Amino acid sequence: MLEAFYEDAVKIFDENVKIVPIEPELRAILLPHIAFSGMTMMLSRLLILQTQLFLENADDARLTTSCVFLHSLVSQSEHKKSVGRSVSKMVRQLIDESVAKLAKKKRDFLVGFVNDQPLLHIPTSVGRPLGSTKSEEQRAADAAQFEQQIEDAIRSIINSGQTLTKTAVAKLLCGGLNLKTGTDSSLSVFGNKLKRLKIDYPAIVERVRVVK
Amino acid sequence: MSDPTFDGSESPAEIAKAAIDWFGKQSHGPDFSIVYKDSIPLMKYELQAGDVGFICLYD
Repeated sequence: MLEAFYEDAVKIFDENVKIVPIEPELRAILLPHIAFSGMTMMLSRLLILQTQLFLENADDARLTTSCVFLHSLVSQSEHKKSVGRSVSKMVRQLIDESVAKLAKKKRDFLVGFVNDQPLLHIPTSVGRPLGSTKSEEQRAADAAQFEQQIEDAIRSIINSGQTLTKTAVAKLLCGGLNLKTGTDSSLSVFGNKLKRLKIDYPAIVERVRVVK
Repeated sequence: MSDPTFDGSESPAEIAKAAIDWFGKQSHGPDFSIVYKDSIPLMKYELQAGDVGFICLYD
């Protein structure tokens, strides 16, 4: 059972070095550690999952037994079709709730584990629904807030005696490293944000210089 | 307890044995133990699920 995980470790290594490349000679030395990490994780989780299995088994039994009993009640009804539809709808909701409960448990474990890694972060709060857009009011508020941050950054650079460049402002506000290329992505992130929030960067620079 | 060291020459079976040995030495409940049968490490633990008790053995 555990030995088979070695093949998974090989795949994990080969897939992930495409994202963050490393020296090929490290492969031999890292593979045993990756395999060991996965194997110990399997052992640790096994104790927890084994206990959960009994609880899930009981939950499934409750649900399926309810279904069987409800079905027998429907079969005694004079209005089998309509009662059957109502009961089916109710049972479907029970199934959905049961599946959602399991999915949440698994997600909570995986997200919690990933968030224990200092350089990785998965948000746990509910964000904007996928595919939805920000309201105009929210976008305007975000733009005003970001404009203020840009002004503060420009003043900070000028006051420190540095040369004022867009790159310097971008690094202060959107500093970051592109993991795929290893390059500083702050200027492009900054540019994209200006465009998205429809902010006139040269006008802000001019305004700060005039006020100064 | 520190992780074992590897030099890259270990077989999958040797890594699995190291994982089981390492895991066996971590702190667990009294119902958990690592036993050996014909030099093969087996993970053994007992579970209480309501009125039913289980003894599980994994190789």
